[in-house]
Amino acid sequence: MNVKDIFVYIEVREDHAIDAGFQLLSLSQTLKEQYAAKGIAQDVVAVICGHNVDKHIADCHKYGADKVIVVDHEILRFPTTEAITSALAKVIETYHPECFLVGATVVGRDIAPRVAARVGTGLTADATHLEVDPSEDSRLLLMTRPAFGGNLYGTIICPFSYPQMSSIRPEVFVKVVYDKPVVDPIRINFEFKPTHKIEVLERLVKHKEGADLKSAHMIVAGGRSMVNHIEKLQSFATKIDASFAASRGLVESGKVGKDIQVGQTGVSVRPALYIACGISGAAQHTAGMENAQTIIAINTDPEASIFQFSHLGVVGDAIEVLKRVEMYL
Amino acid sequence: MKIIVLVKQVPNTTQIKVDPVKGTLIRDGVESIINPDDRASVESALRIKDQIPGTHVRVITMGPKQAVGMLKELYGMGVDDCVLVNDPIFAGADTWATSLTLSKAISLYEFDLIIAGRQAIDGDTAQVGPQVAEFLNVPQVTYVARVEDVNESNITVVKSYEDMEEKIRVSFPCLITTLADQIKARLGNFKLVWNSDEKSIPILTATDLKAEPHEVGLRGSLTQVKKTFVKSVSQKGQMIKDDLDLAAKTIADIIHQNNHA
Ligand SMILES: Cc1cc2nc3c(=O)[nH]c(=O)nc-3n(C[C@H](O)[C@H](O)[C@H](O)COP(=O)(O)OP(=O)(O)OC[C@H]3O[C@@H](n4cnc5c(N)ncnc54)[C@H](O)[C@@H]3O)c2cc1C
Ligand SMILES: Nc1ncnc2c1ncn2[C@@H]1O[C@H](COP(=O)(O)O)[C@@H](O)[C@H]1O
Repeated sequence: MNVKDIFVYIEVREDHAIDAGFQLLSLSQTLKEQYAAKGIAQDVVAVICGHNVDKHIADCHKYGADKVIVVDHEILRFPTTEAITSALAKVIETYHPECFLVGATVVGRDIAPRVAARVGTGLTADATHLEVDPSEDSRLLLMTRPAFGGNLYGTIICPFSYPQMSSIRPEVFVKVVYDKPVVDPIRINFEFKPTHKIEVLERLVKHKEGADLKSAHMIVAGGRSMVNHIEKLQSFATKIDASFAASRGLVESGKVGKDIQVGQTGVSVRPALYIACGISGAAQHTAGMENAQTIIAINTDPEASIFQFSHLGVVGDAIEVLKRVEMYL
Repeated sequence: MKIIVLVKQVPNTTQIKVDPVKGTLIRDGVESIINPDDRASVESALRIKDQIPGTHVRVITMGPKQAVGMLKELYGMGVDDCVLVNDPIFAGADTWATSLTLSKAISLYEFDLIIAGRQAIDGDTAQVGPQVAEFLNVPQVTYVARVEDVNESNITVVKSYEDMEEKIRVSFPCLITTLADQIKARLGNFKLVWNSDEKSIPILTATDLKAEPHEVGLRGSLTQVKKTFVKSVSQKGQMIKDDLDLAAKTIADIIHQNNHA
């Protein structure tokens, strides 16, 4: 069997293609170059599943797709487990990709394990670093991921089965404009009869305070110790035109919503500037913010682990420091 | 109604520290706990049992013999039966092999509903629930924040997405995975805890599951760990202590730079 190409699942919810997919197309171009350096030719192939999705084809090419496969079906308008699993399994069984990447969104983490189990391959969860094995004659992807709450990293391989599958957290990689030529998509004829007795009764779009965090240019984040100073941090954030976020420590106080939690079980962010106020720097928190370009940490404890991540560390009371900062703005 | 809950015993990863010199995990003195999301699963099952008399709740865990301690704790909370899936050849299983083994164990029993945790805090994969559902060919609802309604033939749950919630009704048999955030588990009941020592805990081995050695444990795994490492703990940046004014000026300056970038 001829296994070839790097496939990326482009998740579409109603009319919206999720950025995570585009980020993975760009990442795949890097992997493609690494394969090319070993004399292995791969194409980057976007797999769009949804309904009336042709409008997303151009963006796929823009961010790195050499080819696009379209699975269009009314039932895929919202990504349901059974339908997407069948669609992706069909794509895999038809084209035998070498690698298959899925964004680790709620949808991605729901379907990827099921697809892997159905087609009989291994799956690496939530990888944060991917590279092609540099050793000679190897076609393996080295998929590195955090475990034990981010304290330990493991490099995982999938040596016996194809495709080599990984889910990858959103915002870990950036989308890059490759502007690949737009070509006619490959259309898959997808016939599907649901057998699972499952029904969505209601869909409530939440206005999440944290919705803009992913794309925020600057973020001011507070930890557990800031529980009595939330308004002060928020007004500081507004003053400098930044978004406000929190560690789980602060979320647990019940004074702010879970929507604005940054970290492993919250949002992953990559702002230009992240100001961590009274955050200890637990691995589960830093997992979501370590990709910020500049990190400033303010903490009373000189030994706080957040200082291992910060570009500027200030030992002191966060509120006092910020009050003083305002004088210089 | 018959409910099976999948529970994993995990090290309390928030207590794990990295030895900066040796570059290894310090696991000494780190307690073993019930995986937080699984505690929520047990609670969800027990709430259904409170509501629908005659409901039977069985916990299945795969792990070392020491997990018996955890199972006794679960008896104390009010579960009806606990099963330990344990065999030396199950060791080193990835999510594929774990899910296959667990689904073989589940197949030995009748069930309407399987509840797993969204993810285990040691492996953090969130893969075992969906893969068990696939092996058993039942529908799944992952990321369940709460159960809204349940009757003899179906369950209605609220699934939590990044930016929306869905209310979903799914017929039995099915599998759901729960989030610990909104489901606070009960404490052990004094009398049940007292009696938990008398409860028997059957152990299922590979033979009981009719599992071939090549399907389970490390040999049955499709992924392999090539290497592990801890993140290098190095101070990246500049530190300012004892000079509030310098700190404030520097921060203001960085903010200015970013505002005009
Ligand atoms: C499965 C799992 C998932 C998790 N997911 C996440 C996640 O997504 N996001 C997340 O954030 N956490 C997560 N956690 C929790 C994480 O392990 C930490 O417990 C949490 O991040 C700690 O929050 P904190 O730093 O605000 O609080 P603490 O650890 O209590 O730290 C407070 C800090 O404030 C400092 N301080 C006190 N007073 C002041 C002051 N006046 N000025 C300045 N500094 C001060 C202290 O020195 C201390 O360092 C998760 C845990 C688990 C088990
Ligand atoms: N060894 C195990 N025994 C029982 N249940 C497990 C085991 N491993 C995983 N699970 C279940 O699968 C869920 C997800 O685990 P994971 O995929 O490892 O993150 C857990 O919350 C448990 O409900």
